[in-house]
Amino acid sequence: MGILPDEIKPAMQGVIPSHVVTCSRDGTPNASAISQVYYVDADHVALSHQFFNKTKRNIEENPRAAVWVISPETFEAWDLELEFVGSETSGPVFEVMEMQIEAIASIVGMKGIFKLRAADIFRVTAATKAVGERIPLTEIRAPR
Amino acid sequence: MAVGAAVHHDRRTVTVFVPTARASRLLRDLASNGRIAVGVSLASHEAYQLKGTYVSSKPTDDAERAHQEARRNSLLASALEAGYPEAIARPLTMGLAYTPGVAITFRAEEVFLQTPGPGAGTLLS
Amino acid sequence: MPADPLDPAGLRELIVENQATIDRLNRDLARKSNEVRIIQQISSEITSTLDLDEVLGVVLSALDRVLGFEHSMILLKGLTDDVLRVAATRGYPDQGTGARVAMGEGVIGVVAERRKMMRMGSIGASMRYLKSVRARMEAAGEVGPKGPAATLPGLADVQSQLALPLTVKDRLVGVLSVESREPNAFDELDEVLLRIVGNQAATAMDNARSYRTVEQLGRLKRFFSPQLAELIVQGGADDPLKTHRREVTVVFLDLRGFTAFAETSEPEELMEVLREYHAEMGKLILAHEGTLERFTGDGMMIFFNDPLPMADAAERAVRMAVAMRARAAQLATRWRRLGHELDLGIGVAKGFATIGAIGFEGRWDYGAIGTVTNLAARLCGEAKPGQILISPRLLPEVEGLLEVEDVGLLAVKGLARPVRAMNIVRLHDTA
Repeated sequence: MGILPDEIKPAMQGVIPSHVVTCSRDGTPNASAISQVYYVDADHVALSHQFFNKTKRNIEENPRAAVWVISPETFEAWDLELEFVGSETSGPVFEVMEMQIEAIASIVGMKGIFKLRAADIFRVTAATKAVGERIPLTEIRAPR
Repeated sequence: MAVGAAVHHDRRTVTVFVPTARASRLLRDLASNGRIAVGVSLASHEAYQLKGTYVSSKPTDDAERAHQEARRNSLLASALEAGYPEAIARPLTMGLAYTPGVAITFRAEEVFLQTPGPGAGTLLS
Repeated sequence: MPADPLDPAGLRELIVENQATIDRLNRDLARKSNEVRIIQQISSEITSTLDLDEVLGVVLSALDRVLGFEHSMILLKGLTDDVLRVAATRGYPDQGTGARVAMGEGVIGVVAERRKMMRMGSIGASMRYLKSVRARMEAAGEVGPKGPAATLPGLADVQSQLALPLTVKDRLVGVLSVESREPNAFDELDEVLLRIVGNQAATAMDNARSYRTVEQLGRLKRFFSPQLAELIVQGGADDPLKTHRREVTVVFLDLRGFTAFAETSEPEELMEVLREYHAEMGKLILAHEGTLERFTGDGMMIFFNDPLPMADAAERAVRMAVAMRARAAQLATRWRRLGHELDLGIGVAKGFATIGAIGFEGRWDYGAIGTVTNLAARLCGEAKPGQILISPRLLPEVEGLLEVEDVGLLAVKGLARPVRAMNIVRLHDTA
């Protein structure tokens, strides 16, 4: 179907942290910051959760999540509505994410200590670009 | 996505400021389900989550806007200090239209530590 | 509503619509032909040379001029080990050639280990994130303090990187990496282009490397035995023929009584004895993997630890010397029955020497020069028939193996103080 346009790809490079919100079955929300939302294809994204057990528990009760990413080129924000598909511990998506984490971990002395546990795959059900939010870049230039 | 927040004297009531352009859906959700979760993250990856119950909302006033201005400047400084390049930090922190805004007040009931690493998810109070 | 071609206004609309389509198709075609042209240009440059350094230079230059990748490098995997070494760079102030990356280390190391391309757009942000996690884990006692960081070649403030493995027939030849200080600098099209260039570069590099190996081998075989030449080339080490200094153990030997023998015997007899002597000593040199520097009639100089490094150079030298003494004693018995008095004297010393190709066009030798060679020659000269005189500098490494006796002080040219000479009586592990 192709919900995610090409222009959102820069927002999925991890330059600016993103946020994910989930909700338990009884309606209690949970918000956490994540370092990167990974582009899988025009209808799917992947998240790597290393520490956020509450998010995982919520997803098990209620597979819907909302994610918010910012483009490092235009600084526009995108609201994505997601539905959990499954967790992968192998395969092309997992491998891309795993390699990136491995490369950085090896540089900061975390080789073997910090590893990708799983790639959580979500289907994108809606993608909305937030409008009216930006102060034009020309007005916020650094004072010379 | 809020720009700035203020803790009231009772250290239990918190007001967050959300740009009006983004607030409509949020307010609708709060009206039907009064529970709110607010993630607070610093540029240094230190992060907390506040969970509580919605109390009220109103448009931001001049005093609150001045408060937001001050917070934006310190946010830019902390982003630069944390290592964000200027070309990212400045548009990111100063580029969000914060006015007109809605001041959303809630009563905080739980505070969680969300900084990535050991202890993430711990209930602090 | 489809335009009516018979109505002038409608016809104009149709023409305009088709023109727009034609323009778009032309643009697409132009972009595609441009890309094709770029690839063709790069490929013809890459395959135009068999010299490895030139190939690497051409690849990186093409990536910069044609595709705009300003900072790039190529690393080669060692022929006999799994270490990647920087072979060529472009756009870095410090060349960094020879810098090493281990498998699994950083972006380049992971690309080599997994044999898959990697594209990263926010290295700075990822590093900050993991560093802060690590700091918290360290504070919580979950991980020890970080050891000294290995400096990896590349931009210190890199944000984006695109790296791919260079493979030929499933064999990893090396890694090609491009970097940028801008986040998000590379996209999927860059991946495609780099992959195409990378494949061609890999083949060209492999061809050039094979060619260089064959060339090097040919050159080295003039100086060394074929086996030694192979080992040197495979090791991928620096060219041994370039002058260099190394600590070597030197063995000097000569036949006592040879001059008198040469004066009184028939030429054929002389050559026969010499041939036998060289053959037997030569076998022992090969067996202990020493380097024969020269033989002048009855004298020979052999050294250890060059061109191949050896941890046990001193031990090999003394074992060879003892074996040579024993073999020479057997030969001497036979020669005595033929009426010739010939005995071996040996000197062994250890020290730094300047080593490289000595001589002139058409007559090159692999030679070693230094006080150590003088000392070994002097010890050999002082040795009575059947003695192996060694310098005290060898003792720490070999005294456990030997029974030695002190034979007194020797004055040696080039040394301020006289040297105490020790004779090897026997090896402890022999009867």
